[in-house]
Amino acid sequence: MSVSRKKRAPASRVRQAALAGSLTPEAQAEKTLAAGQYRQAIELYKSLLKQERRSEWVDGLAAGYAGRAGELAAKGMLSEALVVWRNRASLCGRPLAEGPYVEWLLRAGEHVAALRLLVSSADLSPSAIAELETRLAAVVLTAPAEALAQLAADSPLSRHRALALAAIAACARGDQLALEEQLRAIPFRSPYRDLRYLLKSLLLLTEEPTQAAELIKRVAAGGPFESLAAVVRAALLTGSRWLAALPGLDDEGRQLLLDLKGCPQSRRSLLLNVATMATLDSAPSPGRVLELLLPRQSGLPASAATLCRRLLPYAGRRMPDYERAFGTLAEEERECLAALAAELQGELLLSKAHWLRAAGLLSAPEKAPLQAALILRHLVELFADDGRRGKGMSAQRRDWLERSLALDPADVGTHLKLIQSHRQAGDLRAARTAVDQALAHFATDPAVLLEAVETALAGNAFKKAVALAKRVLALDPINSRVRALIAQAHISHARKQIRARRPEAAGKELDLAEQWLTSASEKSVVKLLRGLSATDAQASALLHEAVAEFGGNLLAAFHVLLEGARLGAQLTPTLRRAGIKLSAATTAREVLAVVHAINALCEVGPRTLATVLDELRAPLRGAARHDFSESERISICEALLRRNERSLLQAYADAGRKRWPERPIFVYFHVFARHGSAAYLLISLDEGMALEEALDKAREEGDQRTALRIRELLSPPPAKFDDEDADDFDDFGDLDEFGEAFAKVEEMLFTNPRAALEMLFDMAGEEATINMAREVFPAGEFSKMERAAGGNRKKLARLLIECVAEEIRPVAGSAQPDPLPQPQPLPQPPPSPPSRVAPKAKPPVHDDRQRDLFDD
Amino acid sequence: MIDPYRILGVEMGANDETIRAAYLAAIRESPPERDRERFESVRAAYEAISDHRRRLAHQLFDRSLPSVDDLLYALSSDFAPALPSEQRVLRVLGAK
Repeated sequence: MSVSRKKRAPASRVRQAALAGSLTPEAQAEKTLAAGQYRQAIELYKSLLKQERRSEWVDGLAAGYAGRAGELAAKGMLSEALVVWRNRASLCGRPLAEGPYVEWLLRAGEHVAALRLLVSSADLSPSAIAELETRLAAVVLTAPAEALAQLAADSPLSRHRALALAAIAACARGDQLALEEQLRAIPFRSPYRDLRYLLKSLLLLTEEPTQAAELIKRVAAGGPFESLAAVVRAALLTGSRWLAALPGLDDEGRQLLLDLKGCPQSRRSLLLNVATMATLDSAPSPGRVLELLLPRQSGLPASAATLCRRLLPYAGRRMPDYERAFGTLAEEERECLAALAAELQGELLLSKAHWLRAAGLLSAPEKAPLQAALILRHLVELFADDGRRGKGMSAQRRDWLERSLALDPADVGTHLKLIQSHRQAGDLRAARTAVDQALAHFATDPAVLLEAVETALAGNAFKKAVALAKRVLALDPINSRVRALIAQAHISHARKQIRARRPEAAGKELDLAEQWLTSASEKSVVKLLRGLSATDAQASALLHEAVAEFGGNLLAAFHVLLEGARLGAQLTPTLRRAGIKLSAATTAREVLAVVHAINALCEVGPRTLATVLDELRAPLRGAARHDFSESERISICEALLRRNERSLLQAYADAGRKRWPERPIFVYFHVFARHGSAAYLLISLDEGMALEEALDKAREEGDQRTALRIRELLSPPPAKFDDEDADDFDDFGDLDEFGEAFAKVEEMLFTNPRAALEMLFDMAGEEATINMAREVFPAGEFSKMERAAGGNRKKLARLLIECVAEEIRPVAGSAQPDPLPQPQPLPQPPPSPPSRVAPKAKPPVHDDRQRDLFDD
Repeated sequence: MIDPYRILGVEMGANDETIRAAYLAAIRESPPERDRERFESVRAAYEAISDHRRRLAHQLFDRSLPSVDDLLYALSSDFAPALPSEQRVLRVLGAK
């Protein structure tokens, strides 16, 4: 009142304000009230009422009081709001108990005053009285006896109060029968009716949450028992959502919710802290979680210790706190944590050093050899990303696989991976050993048997392959892959017999192959081989028949040449004997059929295919001008690119670029055809600009694949790191140095080629060097050097460097080779312990049967 | 960190059979047509810990970040839900 009185404007000033304006005092009061200026409106209406007590002015005054009281309540000034409301009742003759008055009384804690309303509510309508009773139900339930004395004994609030209290007691005891009995006695129209659903829901919270949720839905929000209903609703929320609702409850509500969840007193403050985190949108940071949990570790369950242990890689400096809280970590555990921490920071080499040390510590039989095996397999995965050097698994990764199998031989997936990696590396002896080891543990596993078949086929052990494949079929009779492999094994064996001039034995193998073949094209190949296996009239007839089945022109020539090359025959006479004349014009359809046949080849080495295509180069190049659709031309270019047939690729790419100059993919094909994958070293300025434009266009069109391929063509390949020892690098900061080093290589290539190539060899390893040289050398020369190296890839790389250095003449003024850059000493990672299974040094394989594999 | 043990509602030391039973129960409760998200998380959780090797690998190499659910589970795994006392209910309703 005092505040209001102090700030009240003098009546004369209000009158003056009204007179000063052009409006009448009544209009001015209405306008002020509509504008929400309640204090001024109250003064204006009071002035008007002093002149005459008009009912519309009384209404205006009541509206002004109501607005002002609402303003005060909204600011939390409940006592002031209640005073204004009481003025409204006394000055305007309005019932006190209407509107928000009861709610404000309850919020202000004036329960006795609220109950008094029930006594003084005789002037209210029966429905308003019933509503008032409902709103005061919770107050009556919890009010002291002396406050209840004023209630009429026959009011429902008095009559049903004991029942409601008994129901609450039954609920607290978990006595469902008693609860049902008490609630049944509370009528549907009783002010306590919401308690019927609330208490049942409370009782079913844990056992029947769905039913409890259905019950609580029947309790309207904002009812007399809302404080209890809000807790029950929060308790029913799933996952951590109940925790997020916790801060929104009042203190008693929070305690009840934590009671319901079974939270011990000692953990309540911690839960409230976590609840605050739950209300935030972002996930809690590991550091913050550790900060919360580690100082309060006493009394926490084991799951908290597990969580902290799992978060340590994110916050290594917390390790001492963790050990103080939950006990000392074993050395191998510390190594695992350090390895994970290094992984998280992208320091793969440091991570490798820690993982290897952990594996060493865990390898002992009395420790955890299975964990050690898993760590070694994890390392294999960790270093799986070879980028563009994807030429199979490195020797180091194979060694990890072998060591992991020595520790845990019962993992079929690892056996399969090891067999495949040996085969990819061309080490068939090791692959056969790995197959034997796998079969010792998984003799009836179809996947292992299939790998055994593939390995036997790779080693030209056709009979063994067929025998193994039949074992697979016995286990898996509808395995189409095995059926195809058996047919191929017989066909390959037949070729071997033809080469050895044993046509009868070859015929038998072809008979066996036919039993497994289903496609007409494969059957025609068998017929072709029968024709090539002998020179008599019957064989020639079969040869001509097969040629006719292949269409008699380009496709037939391709198959005849391919089989001729595989059999070691002279190609031109073979083609003549087959009666094929390649002078006839080649159609687009025939080109597509040949491309399809090339795509279907899997076991043919690049040299064999190149020999075959040498004979077909002229007609294929001539056919590049045909009007192929865009997708057909792209698929032809892709096939030629995959087979590294760059001269043909150039013909088809150039024709494509002329026809669709706006398509970035043809620019890519064109530059790749000219320079191969080493284009970034060799492209001209114009080509570079064309590629940049094509890159932008591809990005605009959303063609991510072409954009990526162009980017790869424009930039040097990533440096290798997984084959090296951890001692060679400290962290990934060195990759930047590699980028600079590649730039140096480029710069030095024409000034000091030998030094540049040596540097490249040091950085990228022998595989990259060999691949790059393969782009540069003619196939014949490359093969000569390959044979001279005798299967030793390091030696081959050295020979190629020598040869390339001779080929590229240094420019004038730089004849003297620059000294090689000396590597900077690098920080040493922690030393690895000696491994239990020492890595085996593999001798170079001098197996003649691997010649083609060596190329692939 | 989507804790697979929490998702399936099994103890850390649970064996293959217990985990499979929990997985089947969870799948029955949340088939893909009813709750695709929950179904995916249950399946991912089962794949992470379905056998001894996977459980060990999860323990060794999992480095996903914790969610509030994980944190709550870690703190409340020993909670035993209880009914409130009569006084607590009355205090919530306004009793002094």
